[in-house]
Amino acid sequence: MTKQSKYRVIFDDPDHLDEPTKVLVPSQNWLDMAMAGGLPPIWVYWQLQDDEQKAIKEGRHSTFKHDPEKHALQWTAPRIGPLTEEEAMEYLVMKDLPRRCWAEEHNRPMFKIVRTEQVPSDRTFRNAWEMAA
Amino acid sequence: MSTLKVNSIQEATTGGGTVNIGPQVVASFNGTGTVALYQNHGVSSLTDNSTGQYYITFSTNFSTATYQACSSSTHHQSTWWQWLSDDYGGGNQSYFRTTSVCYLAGYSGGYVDNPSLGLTCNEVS
Repeated sequence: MTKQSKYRVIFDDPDHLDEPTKVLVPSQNWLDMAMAGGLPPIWVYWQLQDDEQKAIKEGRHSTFKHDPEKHALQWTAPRIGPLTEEEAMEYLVMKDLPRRCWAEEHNRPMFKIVRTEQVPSDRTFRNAWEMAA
Repeated sequence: MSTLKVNSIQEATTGGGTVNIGPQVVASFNGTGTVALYQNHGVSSLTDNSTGQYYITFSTNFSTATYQACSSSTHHQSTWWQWLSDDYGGGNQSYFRTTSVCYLAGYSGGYVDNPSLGLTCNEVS
């Protein structure tokens, strides 16, 4: 098995609070790239997410194609420089979690960055997992 | 010996599509116990959604959501999981996939955790 991150992100989707708490497992390869300074500014991904969400809402997702210039920015935009592992985790939250989890105010936190050993390894009641207060 | 390094090749005479070299996304992971990636390429994270249901988020978005996606999962609670399983082999292309996310699951009458799942995605641009 490849090297594993020492962090996980547990989160709830505010639009589906009846669903079990989800657990995001970062790719150590991706974290290494982030810590080596290989990432573009986060807005590059947000711009692509916005365009795709618009296409989904308008019912044209099956024929949707990203704008080539915006798509190419993933590789051509100036890199943001090396991040610490903690900064990389925060970037990953903003990239991979639904924006409604972290960008909107709720009456409780919708996500937490935790250490791997804080996530239960016994999955017998996986569908009953809830985020502790 | 010299090494030729390219990311894609293009058919010269008929102007056909560009063929990218190798899969752009490869992931294999353990869906039991402490869920963890075994190997990955082109992946930023794996999300454990609930029993037997997971999704992979890519490092970079594909240009469309019609890329080829193929998943596999192994037999659960069996010594045979270490082989490619007849019971859980293969997988449909996720209907819910977007340019940045692809869903996969282990299913046998209901969703079940699997000790080895895999996903490969390709796009010809």
